[in-house]
Amino acid sequence: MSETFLEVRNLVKIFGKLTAVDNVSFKVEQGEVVTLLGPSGCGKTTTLRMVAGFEKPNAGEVEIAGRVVVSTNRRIQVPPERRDIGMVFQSYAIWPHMTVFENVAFPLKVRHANRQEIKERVEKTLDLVGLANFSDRPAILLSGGQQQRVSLARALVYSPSILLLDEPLSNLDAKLREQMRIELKRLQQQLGFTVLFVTHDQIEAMSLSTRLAVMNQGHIEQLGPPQEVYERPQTPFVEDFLGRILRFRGTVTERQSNYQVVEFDGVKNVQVRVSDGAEQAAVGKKILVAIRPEDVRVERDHAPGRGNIIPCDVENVLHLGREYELVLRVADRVCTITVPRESGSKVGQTIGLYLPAEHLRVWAATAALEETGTEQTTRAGSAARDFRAG
Amino acid sequence: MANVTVADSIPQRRILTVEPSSLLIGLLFIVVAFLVLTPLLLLLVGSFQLARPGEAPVYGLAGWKRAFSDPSILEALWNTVSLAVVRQAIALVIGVILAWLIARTDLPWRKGLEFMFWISFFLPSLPVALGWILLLDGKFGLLNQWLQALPFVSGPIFNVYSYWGIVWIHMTTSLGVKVLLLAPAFRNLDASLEESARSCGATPAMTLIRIVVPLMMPAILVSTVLGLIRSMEAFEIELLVGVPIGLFVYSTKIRDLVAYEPPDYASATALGSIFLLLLLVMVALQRNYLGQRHYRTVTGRGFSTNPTSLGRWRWPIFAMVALTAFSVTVVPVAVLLMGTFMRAFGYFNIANPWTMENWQRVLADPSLIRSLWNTIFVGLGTAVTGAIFYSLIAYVVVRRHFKGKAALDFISWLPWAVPGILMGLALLWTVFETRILLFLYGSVYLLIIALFIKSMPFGVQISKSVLVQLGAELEEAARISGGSWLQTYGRVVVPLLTPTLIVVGLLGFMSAARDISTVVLLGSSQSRTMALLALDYAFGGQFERGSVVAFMTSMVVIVIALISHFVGRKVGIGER
Repeated sequence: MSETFLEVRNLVKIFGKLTAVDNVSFKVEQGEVVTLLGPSGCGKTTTLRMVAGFEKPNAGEVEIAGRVVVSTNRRIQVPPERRDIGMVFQSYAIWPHMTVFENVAFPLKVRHANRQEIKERVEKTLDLVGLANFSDRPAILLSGGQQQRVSLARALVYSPSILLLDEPLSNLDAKLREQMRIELKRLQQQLGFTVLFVTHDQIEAMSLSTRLAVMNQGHIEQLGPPQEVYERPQTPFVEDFLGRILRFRGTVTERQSNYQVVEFDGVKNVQVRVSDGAEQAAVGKKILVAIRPEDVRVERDHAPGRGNIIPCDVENVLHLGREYELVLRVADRVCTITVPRESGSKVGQTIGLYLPAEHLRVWAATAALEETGTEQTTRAGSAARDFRAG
Repeated sequence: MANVTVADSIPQRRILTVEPSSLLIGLLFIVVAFLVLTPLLLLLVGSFQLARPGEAPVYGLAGWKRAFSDPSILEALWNTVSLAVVRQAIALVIGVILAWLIARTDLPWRKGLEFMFWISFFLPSLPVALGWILLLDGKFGLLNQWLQALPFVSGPIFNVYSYWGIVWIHMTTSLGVKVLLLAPAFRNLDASLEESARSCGATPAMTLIRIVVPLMMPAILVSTVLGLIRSMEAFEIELLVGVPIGLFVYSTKIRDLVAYEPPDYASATALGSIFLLLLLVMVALQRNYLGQRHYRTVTGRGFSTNPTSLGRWRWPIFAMVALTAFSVTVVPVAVLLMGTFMRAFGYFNIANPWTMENWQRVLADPSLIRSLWNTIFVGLGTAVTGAIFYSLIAYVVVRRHFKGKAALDFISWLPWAVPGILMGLALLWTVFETRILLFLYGSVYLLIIALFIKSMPFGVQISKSVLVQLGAELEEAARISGGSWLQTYGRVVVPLLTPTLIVVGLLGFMSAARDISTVVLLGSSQSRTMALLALDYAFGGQFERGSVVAFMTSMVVIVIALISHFVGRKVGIGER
């Protein structure tokens, strides 16, 4: 228990008719970066704001560093300033009437630190975020990236129990975002602070998190280490939201103890073995088979005799510069994958897509899922090498 | 050779098309500069001119000496400053609280309450003052009579004819502008700026003092300076409840100096010059202060404005705010309306106190009919000239590049800092001094000129803000298609600007209907507007008739305000 820095228990937040956060629970251990990831409106920011104390939950509890700060049952609602948290806002919320130094010194001033200590700690923190020479600059004259650093310094300067980051990188341009992401990772590893991070950007979530929680419509769909969530999504939503996906319709034709055999709609005489047991469908049932495009390999040999290879026609080839985009037709549906330049595919050619059994996942066919799979742009991982080898 | 001919013809054509437009800009510049600057300069010059208008000029410092030695003038100066400061201090505190409650909390009916303050902003002060006189007069005031009915009260509690009476009436007319200016500023404050302070460990009180108030400083400053200018402008309230007890402020003093024989223009203009310089310095300081600071806050997608919960104080606070809102709108106007049906203003105990006679007499009075026509004429004149010139000034300043653009912008804004009574005095003096303009004296045209100048800053600002929003591409497309800039202005800008022009025109008309202090020195019995007629009735002791005309005036003003509000909302003009 002493390891747990933040615990959220059964949080519920209702806005009018909408349940924005629906019974959310999770823990953040010391030194961890836990990310709430999801599309806009999934309740991630509301959850964060309840942890910070800016929203009052309709039900649930929040415990920070062993102290209950929110409990609807016990009528506890500690105001934000007494929660010992640091927060970085999406808009940075830099106070425009203060200099960089004054912005960062503010939390120490309200804590009545003495002048010498304030000076030392502010300078140390500014140095840490790479703004050592900007102390006297009016905060508003800084660039976006610099404001971001001030905001971070201001949240770190008093060493709060936990740092809350609300989409901190989303207002930066692409290059700066990448740079700040790496910087944030470095700072976190160096100082070891505990972070609750909210973002809709999966790259940020994947690269920064110790564990990540994918949220959808107010609840957590899956919570785990990024790699696990990516490779073993437990719901179609998670699979679709993280990374890219190819989906095929099919029918189960055979069931064995450790695999099932599927025949894709419109592809005659091709049997695909699937090791996934997530959707235990009976023989004859309609299902969807999904695979990450980087797990697909393009094979020149498309003879139906070999296992798990489906033939498809190259309808179009688009030159993207460093790679090609192939528009492929598989029976009645079109999907696109990208392959390296050297692959040499031509329009009209028939190629084979090798779908490794261990990477295929099976989901029950629902109308909502089928829609997402009709046109797909995806990327084939190591396909080219195999293509040439074949 | 053919090539050369074509090349030669191009510059010629360009010269021909550019010339009239720069001529027009030059003309516009001269007209605006003449109208705004001449009166102000002559006001300064006039303070050194001792001879009566029409006689050979004699220059000297006697006017200034009198202005600084006459104890009654010094007292008026002191009263002006002290009243202005006291009023601003109280109004600012209450205004900030009201604006915050309306813009940032879950106060019930806050939209309706804001609307009431908006109405109160437009309510002319004369009707409000008459309403309060009826309520708070020492002898016949309604509130006093009611309170004296209580067993433990003897003698009147309130007396509106006093220093605090003036403060009180002004409070009810100046809260509206505070709320109007401050509420949007509070609304635009990114809540994450407050939230970040809270998350850093600052209490709500500390956040208010260290973050919110400094961020609100520009709006607070603007509203304070505007409030000070408006309190310099204040005239009718001081005339009605100050002059009867010998309490003069500088505006009523100027009237005193000019209106009675022999008129002392030197002292009056000297007194005016002092305030003019004072205000210009103040406004320059304010602009400088605002210019130095960079209050461009980053408003990214994280912009949030969660209303603060007032908790169990919600309804008690609502009651307080609603009471305030009623006191600045419904209460004085309702009492005024009641007053129009009284045989003797404020006497409830006489036999048969109610009558329709006031209305009948006023409506049959030829001077009302004349003032009605004057109001309409002056109103339309101000509206039409204003709509044309203000939008042209704005267009030229926003879109055209020429030398002196900044100067034109500044001059068109300058009347903002000049109280109406000073503008009136300056124009009066200009008419007398320049002789050739003497024919304007006593005519409605002089009133139109005065109100045209007075409404200029606001009209130009509104048009500018709309033009900036429109973007230049639409016009550039017209230019590319071959239109000259005047054609472009007429065919593209004006149609797009029409709703704005209507609003500007309506506001010009409204100023003709409600303004007293700008035109009080200029209007004669032939050219006075309804507002001036109401003032003349009321100051002459005919409260019953005065209240009838004042009530009619305020209704006209409110109706125009509502129309311009609804037209303005379509083009996104802020509710100011």
